[in-house]
Amino acid sequence: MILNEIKISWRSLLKNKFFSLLNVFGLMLGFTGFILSYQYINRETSYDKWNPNYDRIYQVGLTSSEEFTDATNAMLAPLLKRSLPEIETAGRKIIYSFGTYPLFGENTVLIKNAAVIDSSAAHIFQIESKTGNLYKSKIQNEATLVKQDIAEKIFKKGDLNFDTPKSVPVLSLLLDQHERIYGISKNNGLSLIDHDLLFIKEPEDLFAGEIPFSYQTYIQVKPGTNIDVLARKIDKLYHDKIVPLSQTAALSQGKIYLDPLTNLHLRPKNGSNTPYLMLWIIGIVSIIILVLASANFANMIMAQADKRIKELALKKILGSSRWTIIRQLLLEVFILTLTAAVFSFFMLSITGNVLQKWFNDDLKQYILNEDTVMYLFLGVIGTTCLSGIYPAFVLSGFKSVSLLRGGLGKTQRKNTLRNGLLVFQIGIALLFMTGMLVIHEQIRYIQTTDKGFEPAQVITYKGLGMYYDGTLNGTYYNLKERLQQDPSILSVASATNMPGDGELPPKKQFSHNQKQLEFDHVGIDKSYFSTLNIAVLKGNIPTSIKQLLQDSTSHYAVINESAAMALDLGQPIGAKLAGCDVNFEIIAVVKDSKAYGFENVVKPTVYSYKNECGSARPQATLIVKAAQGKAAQAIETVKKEWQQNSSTKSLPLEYAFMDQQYVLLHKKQQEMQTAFNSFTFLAVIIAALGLFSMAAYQVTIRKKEMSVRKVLGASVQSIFMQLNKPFFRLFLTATLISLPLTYFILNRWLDNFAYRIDLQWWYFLIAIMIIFIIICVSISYQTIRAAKVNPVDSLRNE
Amino acid sequence: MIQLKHLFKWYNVGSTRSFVLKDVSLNIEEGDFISIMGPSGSGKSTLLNIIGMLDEPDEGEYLFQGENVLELKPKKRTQLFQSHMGYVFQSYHLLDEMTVYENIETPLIYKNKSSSERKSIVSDLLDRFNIVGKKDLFPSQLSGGQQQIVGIARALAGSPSLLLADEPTGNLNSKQGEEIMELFQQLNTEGVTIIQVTHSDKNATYGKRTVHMLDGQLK
Repeated sequence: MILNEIKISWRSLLKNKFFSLLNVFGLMLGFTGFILSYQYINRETSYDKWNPNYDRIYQVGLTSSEEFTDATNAMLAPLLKRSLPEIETAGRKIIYSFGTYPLFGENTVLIKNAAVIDSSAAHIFQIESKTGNLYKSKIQNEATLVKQDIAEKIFKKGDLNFDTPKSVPVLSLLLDQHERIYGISKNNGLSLIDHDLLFIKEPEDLFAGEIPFSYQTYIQVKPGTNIDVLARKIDKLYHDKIVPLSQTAALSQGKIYLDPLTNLHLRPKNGSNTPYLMLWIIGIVSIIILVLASANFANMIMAQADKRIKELALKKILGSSRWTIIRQLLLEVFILTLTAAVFSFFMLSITGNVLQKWFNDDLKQYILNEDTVMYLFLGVIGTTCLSGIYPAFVLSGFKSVSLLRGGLGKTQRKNTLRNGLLVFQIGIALLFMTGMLVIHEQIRYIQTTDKGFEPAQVITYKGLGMYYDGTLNGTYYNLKERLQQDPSILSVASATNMPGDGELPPKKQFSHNQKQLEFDHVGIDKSYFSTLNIAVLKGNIPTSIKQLLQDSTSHYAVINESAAMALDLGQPIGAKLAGCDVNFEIIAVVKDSKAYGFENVVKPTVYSYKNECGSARPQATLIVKAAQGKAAQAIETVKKEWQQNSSTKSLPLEYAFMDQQYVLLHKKQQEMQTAFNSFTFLAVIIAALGLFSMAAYQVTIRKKEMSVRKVLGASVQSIFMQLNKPFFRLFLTATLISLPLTYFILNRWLDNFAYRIDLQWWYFLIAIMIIFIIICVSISYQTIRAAKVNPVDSLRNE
Repeated sequence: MIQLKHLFKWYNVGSTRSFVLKDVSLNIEEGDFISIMGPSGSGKSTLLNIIGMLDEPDEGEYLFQGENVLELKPKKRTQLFQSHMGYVFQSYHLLDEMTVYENIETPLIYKNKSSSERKSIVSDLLDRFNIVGKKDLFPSQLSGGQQQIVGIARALAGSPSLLLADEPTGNLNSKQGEEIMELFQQLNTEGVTIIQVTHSDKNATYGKRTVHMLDGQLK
């Protein structure tokens, strides 16, 4: 009996090969998209979740007038630890931000992400060594770790025993500096603290006296601690004990806030919450696509079931119970969904491999695991029930006789559901298509709009300045002068920060006429503005070293437009600005440069020439503007200089192109663009599939009507229009509903950018036209065929 | 065997009633071969459908072998139908994705007969109608007459005591029609009660009794 049913199911599936395949394909897309997105979201939200104290760890930061920073005073952590009993421990972290960190082992390795944490932070983040205890004796005061692959490169094979620490030359062979490596870091899972080279040292040991850097502070609190109360306590402590020590630090007048570890990977307060938004968008969109695909599938099953009404009626007459018919229908649906699930699994493993190979993404292990199989299984059951139950019960309940006569009168009710689904699908497709256009336009805007500075032809060397004497007329100055002479180099400059840099310049406190303001500070040299083509709007900047050397007590400051606006002075030139323990005189105003991306408004910035704000921040970045087409020669010239410097000749020289670096700032947006394009593609395909099968169904239902019309004298064109009319109506409804929604959503997204395009009406028009054309193509195939059918063929079966 | 008492069936058109069957009373004995004749719209097919339990009258009684059919639960009715009746349609209504063999087999499956029983019954029927060589063909590969024969074989598969036929030769040419009617006669001789609805006088002559209908009433 079952065998018979399977045989029949298989044969009826084969009969409608094309539609069965379409069904399966659409559903497979839905399954795959959903699982991929879900596992991606799983991974991104799993950072540090393996830490047993996950929900008790917070980052301490400062906030003032809507600005957030994670740069805190180095003494804050130890202060908190000893003063507040609710805090179990408090640690610090700082990233090595002077370019790459060279290790000279068996091979020379350039570490791109080195960081320093203290022992308390190591405790908080459960940093462990694979090769034994982190601290092997009481007198050990540091515990630097490297990752496995790095260790294999710098140490001899088989020599990976860390009972005693291994000493490795670092930074500069000439200076004979060494660091001791104490072990290989253990990978406990995805974590915020993820560095190839992790120094575990106490900052107090590194610097005698006042520590010049700001650290990120993390605390681990006792269970049941009230966070708001704690934040206030820390704030009071901070203002009582830390602020009096140093006034110039960023946001030192601000308020303490606590950011939980749960948020730090995706939406840290001091960063962008784009990753978090992306996850939400991906999640919602993938659910939508899954619902679309399943709804499509259900729609198509229902449509096909209607065609088989005669067969079902007959079976009933011949004595089949309703239950048998239901079982038969469910079985067919089950076979289809199972096939879709199997195909989906294959597709997932292919995608996993592709991701691994081309994007170096380890999502594969998340994709192919038991969870996936379970989800697919659930999906199969769920879709079977969803698609099979309705037609199975409704169809088998019809009166046999009326069915035999070919009547389908009672189907009007179903149409609302189906039409609603189609409207939904078209609406979503419209939303995505418009979104795709808008995202494309915004990214183009970012790429082509005047940034306030010119990154083309600019080569940057991060950290190069560390190896030279940076005094006003020291070896660094001489290097720059020499490079300037080279014909392939137009201009050379140096600075503490540069546009496109991942690190933002620090905020410092400045005051003018009793008014206190927070400005970004960038230390520059005389050629900075000319090298980057930043326009000087008012005043004059010094163009020779003589001017700067002239008066050792004078401190010149150049401010940007935003700073000038914040100061609100009619004539900013000559005004006095006090900050960083000196009195500046403003000598010029320059144009705002969108140096750190389009998402944030340009910050008011002060540029100065004598490193007044932080002696520990050298102008380590060398900025070289090459002549058109001479970038390669420029790089060669710098390389030659590098090799002539005795302290650097054995070190590799790393450089980057500023325009490429700048583009990377918007990496997240571009990733979003790619993801969005894929989803658009998916949604449009699914909508087209739905329409295609809906058209086929409509054609079958109305075959007789169309034949009668033809006999009465209708032309092929008018039949065509007749059949298409309901779809045009659906499209219109979908457009009317979806347009305002799309406008709203896209506007909200664009609000994320401080500098953005406006939503033009023609974006919507183009999207509407494209979707309309796709719709026409999808349904026309069926309707044209139907319009051409000979009426005799369909009117004879009475 | 069958007693129909004062059957009425109507459709409400606006506020008036349009009668399909008006006070139809009929008795049918076992072994009868009745032809129900009449012009189109006279209610013949409706009457046959009611007898075959595919439809219900709005008023009246229907006794089958003494049992009041209209008071039975639908499930019992289907059982009754299955065990005693076979229905032959004018447009054959074979299942297109099944072979001839499977089509004939279908009612037996719903009667939960075992596989070997089914095999024997179906092969008997194939033999009898001389269509053994066609048992693996699909309906679309058969001619109209052959499809009708398969339809009849299917109706006979469950060894019914009552065979209902709705214009069985309507879609066949005269020769095929003759063959079918002769077959019916033969079945009747073997003891099967036959009720057929037909237009053709010639077909009616094969039967033992003729009943005329006009505008829903027996004449």
